[in-house]
Amino acid sequence: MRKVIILLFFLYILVLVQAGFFAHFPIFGFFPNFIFIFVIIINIFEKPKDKLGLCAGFLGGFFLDIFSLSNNLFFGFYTLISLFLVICIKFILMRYVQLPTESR
Amino acid sequence: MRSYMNPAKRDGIKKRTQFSLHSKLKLGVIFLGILAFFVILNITNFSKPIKNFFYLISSPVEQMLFRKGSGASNFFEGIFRSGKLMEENKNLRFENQELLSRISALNEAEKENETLRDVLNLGMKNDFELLFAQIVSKDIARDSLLIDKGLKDEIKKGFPVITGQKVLLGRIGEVYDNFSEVILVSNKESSFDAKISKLDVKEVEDINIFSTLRSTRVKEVYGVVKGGGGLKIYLDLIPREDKILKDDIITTAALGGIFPQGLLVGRVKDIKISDLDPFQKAEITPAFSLQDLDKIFIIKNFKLVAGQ
Repeated sequence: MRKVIILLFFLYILVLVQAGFFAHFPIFGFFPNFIFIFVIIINIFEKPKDKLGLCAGFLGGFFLDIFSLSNNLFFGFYTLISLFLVICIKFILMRYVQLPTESR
Repeated sequence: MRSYMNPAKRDGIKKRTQFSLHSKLKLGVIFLGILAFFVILNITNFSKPIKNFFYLISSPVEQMLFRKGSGASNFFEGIFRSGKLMEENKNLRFENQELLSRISALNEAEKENETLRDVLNLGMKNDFELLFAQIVSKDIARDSLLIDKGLKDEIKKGFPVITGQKVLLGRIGEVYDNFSEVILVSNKESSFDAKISKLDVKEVEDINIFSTLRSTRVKEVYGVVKGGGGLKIYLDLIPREDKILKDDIITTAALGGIFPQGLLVGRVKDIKISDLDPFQKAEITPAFSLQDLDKIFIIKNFKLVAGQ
């Protein structure tokens, strides 16, 4: 639970920094989405069965939905995309990636 | 085929690699629950108060970050563009001189206009009812801004938004209690009538500027300004017989009734003529710069044609 609260604050600050500060810094005309980058990283590096990555996906997507200014997008679009991304990463890691274990 | 793997280890891998029916069902139910939650939020429009609440609690921090970002961006831009600045400075000086000479001519015309107005008893009235607003954040990827005025300030959807220099920025999109979204003219949803006003070139020659302004006929070329996304704007549906040039100035027209007449939109950057298309198309350089933008004005009430 403590981890989730820390994650919530971290993602909130990250989305504010992205929408406020980094809105002035396009990279070749594009704006990197730090929330998605963070969600992907946390899901790759945690154990596939852990739930923190799923929480990060939901919270990150939810904050993106709140702070993105788009009239034609369904509210919840980013949350669903983010959750779908998390599920895909977890599925690939579980099914196709086998991390080396210690030999006895 | 014989397997050499330890059965316990093999079972472990099997467990890891296969979703059980129970976990699949659980995941599906959670996903459907979230989907239903968002569908309800969208149908009931409850997403608006949620967004407004988050904007309200975050706006002080977001505004601070926005200003810092703007400062940092200007600083880095200065470093990276130092090579071009000399040339730009030279061009701007030249343009400044040209504009000064035009201003002096326009001042004379303005004096004359005032006299004429007095004679005709028209009077000079304020054309707009303006409301000052501050930008909270930008979403350039979607050509939108968030400003600190909302329903509580009697802001309504569709109100035009301009800069202090009467440059058109866009119109109000979604309105929350304390905040509003501004759909920039470069947004793909944006479309309105505009015109290019220019003096007849033949008449300008060999006459001094003052007498030209009184005697020349202003030729107007109409078209439709459409947002292209990514801060790009196009002037479309220009009849092929109308001649437009690079750097021609585009202003809003009263035709559509969306914006008041005479707001500056931008300059013609590039003209595209296709043999297959009955109309010309031009790319426009927007007159506003989002980098330097901080304070803006919302037009709450306007007359389509100034002075009416």
